[in-house]
Amino acid sequence: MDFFKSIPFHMDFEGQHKAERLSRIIITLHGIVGLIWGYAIQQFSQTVYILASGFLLASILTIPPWPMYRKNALNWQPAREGDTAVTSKSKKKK
Amino acid sequence: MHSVLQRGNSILAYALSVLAFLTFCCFISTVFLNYTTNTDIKTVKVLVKNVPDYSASREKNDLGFLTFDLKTDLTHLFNWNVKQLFLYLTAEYTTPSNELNQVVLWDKIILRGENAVLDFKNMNTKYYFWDDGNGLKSNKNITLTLSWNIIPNAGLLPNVFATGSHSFKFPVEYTTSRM
Repeated sequence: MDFFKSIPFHMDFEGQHKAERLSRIIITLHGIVGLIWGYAIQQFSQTVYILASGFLLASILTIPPWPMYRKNALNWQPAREGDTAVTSKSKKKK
Repeated sequence: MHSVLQRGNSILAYALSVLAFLTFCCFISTVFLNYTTNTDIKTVKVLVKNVPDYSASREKNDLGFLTFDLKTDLTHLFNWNVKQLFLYLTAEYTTPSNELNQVVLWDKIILRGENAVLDFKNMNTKYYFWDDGNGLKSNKNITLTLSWNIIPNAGLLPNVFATGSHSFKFPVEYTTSRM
């Protein structure tokens, strides 16, 4: 269970933006290329296959949270004392 | 926000939207094409019999027999939005009881990639040429027309009538002997 918890599933906000834009670009490009190629050889199936390959490529590149999407982690403020119940407990201990 | 599943969902949805758009482009690129072409139809042997139609009423009806020659080239009809052609040969005629009679005598499916240059000699019809009475004997004007449905990947299912029909007449006497 700890092993699964140790796998990172989340991207930071910059990463999410990059991932979405990259996937759109990949799929759109494959769509355009597929349309032109399919029209050139008059085979619509080729268009569909090229778009499907774009979908697979985009899935591999942008669904898993690769390290390139986790470079801009937010700088959280350190927890201040006296704010939460947990800290008040620790106060009592003092 | 934007978990693995959400990203997968949005990529799949976008890919399917693009696919729908591409399919629409494919449809638009072919919808204005002209699919008519010229055919050459001739009848070779024509005779008419008066026999009981056991499939219907057992009354004696006119049954036409004919063989035909068909020559046409449909290769140029195939493009990236055509999966197959469904050809059918129709006989059209007028009788005193019906203004318009249409009988499909023969059909053929041509898949894309198959030979679409047709040159048939003395073909038999595939289906019976029954009239619902006695309208075939000595009928002066029977018109054979070749038509086809274009079965597309996406879009309309056009029904195209070929130019170049053939008119013939049935004999004035019934054929009584077995052929």
